[in-house]
Amino acid sequence: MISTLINHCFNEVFMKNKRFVTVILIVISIVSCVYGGLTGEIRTVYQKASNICTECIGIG
Amino acid sequence: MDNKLRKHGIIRKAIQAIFGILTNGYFKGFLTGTIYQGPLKRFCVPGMNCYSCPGALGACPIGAMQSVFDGRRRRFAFYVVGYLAAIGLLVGRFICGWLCLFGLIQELLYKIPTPKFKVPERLDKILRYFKYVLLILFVFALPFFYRSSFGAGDPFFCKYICPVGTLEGGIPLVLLNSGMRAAAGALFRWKFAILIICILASIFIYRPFCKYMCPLGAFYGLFQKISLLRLSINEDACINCGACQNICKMNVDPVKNPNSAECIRCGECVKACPKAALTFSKNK
Repeated sequence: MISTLINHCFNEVFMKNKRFVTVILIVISIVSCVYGGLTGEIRTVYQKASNICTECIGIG
Repeated sequence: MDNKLRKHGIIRKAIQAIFGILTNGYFKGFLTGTIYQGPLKRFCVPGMNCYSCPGALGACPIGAMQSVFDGRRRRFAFYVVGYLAAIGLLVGRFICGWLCLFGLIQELLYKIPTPKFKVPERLDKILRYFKYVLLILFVFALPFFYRSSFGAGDPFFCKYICPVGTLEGGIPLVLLNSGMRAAAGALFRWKFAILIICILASIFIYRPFCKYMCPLGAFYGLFQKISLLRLSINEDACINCGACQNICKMNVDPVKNPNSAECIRCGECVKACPKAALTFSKNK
């Protein structure tokens, strides 16, 4: 019953408006990216990436 | 047709190589055994590219994601996940086929003239799920939940599995830096063994890392069916000759499933189709 309902919703809502849903998801992704950037994630990424990662090269 | 395909292959490999050189353009690092520390390291490259490669100008998205998940803070990686999701939603696994340096290395190894091995279909199907296990367990769950007795987290995929890090970062830095050479122990040997297996497998199997192990390919693959760039088939024009399926080295049948999560959108099937029934199009 639930899976039928989910399938129905997926087919009716998603498959018929695929492009629209994709564009909405892209907007959400960009907002997520910007939010992460503003809350300091870029600094964390930079700190990790600008120093030699001992785990990545297999010595730490 | 052969000429058309050959030309397409050369153009694609040239683009992969140029992108690889551009994203690893800090040549001084290869001479001095150091890495680039400039502002570009704030941004992730779209493909698998170790940020500890002496030439790397950007951050590896899989490594960056794990560093944000870090068990000390347990933060969700909005920046990296949002960035990767946006790419996946725009072009799906196009990055794998056109911009990944490690993908190019595997393709060149596959060119070595030896008998090629086709993984039996059932085993192939099971092994393809392994990359999702690595993504969920080694990239998301373990780095997020694990905290050592000192309170530190670990980038599990980078530390215990990633052969890209060993090839692009580990080997050059260990060769160029005596301190690191002295520190290389059991973990380095373990990762080196994984790299050797990947290299040997790549000679006989087309892109084995991409098919069975790459967490980034697994992530992008989740968006294949809904991405804006997609493969379309004109069923009226298709004569079911099987040319597209025969040319596909990722073992996808573009007629049955043109937007399979396994397709790296290399476009060889599009070029191989004698009736131009397959095309890249925008999501409708």
